[in-house]
Amino acid sequence: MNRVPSMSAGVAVFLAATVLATLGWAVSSPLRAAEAACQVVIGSCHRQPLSNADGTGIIDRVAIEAFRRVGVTACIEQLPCERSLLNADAGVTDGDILRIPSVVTAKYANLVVVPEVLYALPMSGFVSRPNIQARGLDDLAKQRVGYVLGWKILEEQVRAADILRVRGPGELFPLLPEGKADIVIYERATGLYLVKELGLKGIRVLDPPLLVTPQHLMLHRRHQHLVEPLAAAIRAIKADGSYAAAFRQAGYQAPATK
Amino acid sequence: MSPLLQAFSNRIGRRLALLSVVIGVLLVPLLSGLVLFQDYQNRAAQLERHLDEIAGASQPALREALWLGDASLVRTHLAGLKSIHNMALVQLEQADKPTEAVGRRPAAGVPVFERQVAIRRTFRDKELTLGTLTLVVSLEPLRRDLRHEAWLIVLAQTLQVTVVAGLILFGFHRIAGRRLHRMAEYLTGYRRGITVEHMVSSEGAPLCTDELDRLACEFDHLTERLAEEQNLLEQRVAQRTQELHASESNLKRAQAVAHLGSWQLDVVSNDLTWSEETYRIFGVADGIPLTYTDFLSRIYPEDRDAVNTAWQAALHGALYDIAHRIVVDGQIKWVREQAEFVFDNAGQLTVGIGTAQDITAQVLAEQALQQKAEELKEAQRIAHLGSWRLDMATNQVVWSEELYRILGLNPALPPPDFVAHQKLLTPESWNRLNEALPRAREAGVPYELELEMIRQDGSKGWMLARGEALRDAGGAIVGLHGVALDITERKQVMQELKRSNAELEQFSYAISHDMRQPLRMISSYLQLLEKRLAGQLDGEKREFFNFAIDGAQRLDKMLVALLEYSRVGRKGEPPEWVASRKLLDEALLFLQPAINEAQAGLSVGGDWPRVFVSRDEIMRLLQNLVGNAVKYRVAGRRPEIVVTSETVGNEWRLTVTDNGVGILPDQIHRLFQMFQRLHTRAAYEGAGVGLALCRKIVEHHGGRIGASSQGEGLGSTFWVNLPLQAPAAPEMPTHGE
Repeated sequence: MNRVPSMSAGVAVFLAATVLATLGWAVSSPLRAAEAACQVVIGSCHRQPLSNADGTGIIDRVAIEAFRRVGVTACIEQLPCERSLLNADAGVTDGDILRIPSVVTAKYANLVVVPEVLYALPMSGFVSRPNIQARGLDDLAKQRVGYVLGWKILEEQVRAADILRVRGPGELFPLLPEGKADIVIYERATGLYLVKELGLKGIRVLDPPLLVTPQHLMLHRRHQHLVEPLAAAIRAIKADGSYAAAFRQAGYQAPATK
Repeated sequence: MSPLLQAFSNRIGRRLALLSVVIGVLLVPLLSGLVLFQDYQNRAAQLERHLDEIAGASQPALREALWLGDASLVRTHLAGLKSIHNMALVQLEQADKPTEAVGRRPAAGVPVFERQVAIRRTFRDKELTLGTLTLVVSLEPLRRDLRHEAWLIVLAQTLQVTVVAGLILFGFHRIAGRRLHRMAEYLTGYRRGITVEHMVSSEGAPLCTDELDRLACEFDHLTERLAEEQNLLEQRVAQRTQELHASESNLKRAQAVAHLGSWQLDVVSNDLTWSEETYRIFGVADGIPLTYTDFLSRIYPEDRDAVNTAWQAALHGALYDIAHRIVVDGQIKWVREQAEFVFDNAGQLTVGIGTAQDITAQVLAEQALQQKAEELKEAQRIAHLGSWRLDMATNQVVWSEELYRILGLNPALPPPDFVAHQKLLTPESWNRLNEALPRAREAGVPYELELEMIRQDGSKGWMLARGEALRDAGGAIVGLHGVALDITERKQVMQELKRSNAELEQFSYAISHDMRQPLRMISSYLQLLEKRLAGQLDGEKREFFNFAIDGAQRLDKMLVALLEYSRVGRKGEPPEWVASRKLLDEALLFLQPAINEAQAGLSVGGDWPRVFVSRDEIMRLLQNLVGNAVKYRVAGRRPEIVVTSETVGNEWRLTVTDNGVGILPDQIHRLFQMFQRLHTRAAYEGAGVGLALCRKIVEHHGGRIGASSQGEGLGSTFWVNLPLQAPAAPEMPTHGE
């Protein structure tokens, strides 16, 4: 199961501030008003540009829009990944964003899955040297690969000449200019956002992604009645182009929705 | 002996070492236990505080891990907590999740500290309990550590105590033991009289530098002082012993002199203790153990009950002062006993202490005195002689019974006072007595008066009253005493005798005077007849005539001598005061021819007083005594005659000593008798009346005459004592007439 790599609080605040500065519309009055009167709180452990503490990340906006379309005012709460699930399972929050259902439901019995994929999360390779190419995990066998601890799917599937596990993305990307790793693996949009934030030069992302994992919105079972409407609302958002527009407005390539 | 063994042989050192071991054994575990217990308490408290700190400090990280939901991180935290020392169990409980536990809860009975901490976090204004952390700390490791420490302490302290004890033992021996031992040996020697110069050596280290040296020095000073004190004490003891011996000797001597012994009777044990003199008084060998029964056995049987009764009474508080008899070697002795008693604190009689005085002599003297008094009383009664005594200080007069009887008074009444005496005498007698008494009382002049008394019944009688002064040791007159002899009968006899003597003297005078005439006629006619018959008488007849004539002449001489003898006191001159030496010179004047004829040597010496005598009688006395000295001389020996005079008391003593024929001692009593001759008429002519005449003259003057001689041919001495003073009172009318 893919997991969203965690970010330090400082980085998160920094990213949020940047996003808010560039996306003026995201900090619109309807959002503030909605947050002021949240009917549901959805936990999120993803970072910019997908999610932030203000709930103005790309996926945040999609999810909030989906709730809005079902008549519910939702707010996004940045939480550690596991805490986000625990709170949602405990009913402290009302759900969690971007989770792999098979992993979550087996462990957290109080969560139900909104069946419509909210985001097909691409795990992409980032390289600094130009001759490095990889189109899938199988291409990593002779490479020195780095990734962030906690990504179990990577732990299970990555086979490489040398694997470097670091505690966070801030330590991950410097591996490349330092020559310690040939390829580092991270979510594509967030990775690009971090490379830019870190000011690293010469790092490029490999397309297509090495691994794509469908991520769903999870709700506490007391919101069972919202599962289908929300799934319909997400499909509608994808269908009406709002979904891709959100990515484009953030400067990122929208993933395929079909 | 090695130093170690010497040290171990020191008993004080051993005791100190043992004491240190005991203290170590008792105190070290106790103190160590206290320290360990305190350490345990502190460490436990510290552990508990640490546990609280851990519980508090672990919350943020654990809260963050729980918030992150990072189970691995949570377990890492829990493992980290468990790794803390003594942490037995770290347990985390979360809702809807299995309990995470690291470690085990200690078994029941094991002391633990346990803390439960709720891990909370505020989320969107809500307090979320992320989990409950339970921390259990076991104290067993701490106890185990303390037990190990205790064992180590015990081992270390045991070793330490042993080492310290050894060091104390050795150190005491080195520092004090040897010197104490030396001091003990010194003192032992001192006690046994082994003289050692000093305890502290004068050589080597400085003296008196530490306490033991000071002690030794003080011992030295003390022993020196003791030696001096002992010498002084011995001297004093010797002196006191000598004094005591002298005192005991004096006491024994005093007891012996006073015949006063002492005794002590232990009333409880009945043991009787006697002094040496008491043994002697009772005639018991000195030192023989005695009891009260032994004492009783020596009491005269008739007195035994009385003594025992008195003693029993004394035991109950009566005075014990008795005189009784004892039997000593078959002789009866008198003993006076006195006693005092000693009581213990409970008031019980314990000891009787007393004296026993041999009063045999006193009792006998009293008995003799009593007998004498009785005899005197009887003698006074028989002799009609009363006595009296006046104490001038108290003006008290004591009369004998006989004096009462003489005056016909009741002896039961007190003597009459001086004024009352007037009634007992005739006025004439009272006047004479009243004149004599002041002289006797004031000047000590004795008196002798014949007084006419008037008895109680009115009858009259005569008494011869003699009185003289009583003087004290200094010669001062303190009283008068005297006797009164009832001479009423004697007076009557004397008057009759005088009358008879007068008649006899008159008869003798008449005989001697009147008989001389016929005797002279016989003698004359015999001489005439002899002449007429002168031619007719043969030798024998003429011799017969001579015998008759000689007899008549001798008879005449005897009559003349008898006539002279009868005239003494009757025809003599009255007494007068004359110089005695003058009388001698006059007497010698008449004897001068005889003295010259005998070529006698005569010396006169001594003090010749004036005397109150009949002049011619005393001259006759001197002529007879000196004449005899000339007359009775030894043929061929020049007579040597010494006449001396002296005053002896109130008497004039005249002595005539010659170197003549002397007198046989057994013949002296015949010298002064009438017509007694110690020599033949042929040898010395005389009538044998001269010394009888002397005796009568002397007696007429109230004196005495006597003679002494060493024997025949050894000369003789005649002496005369005459009263020197004139009679105080005129002669009785009947006296000397």
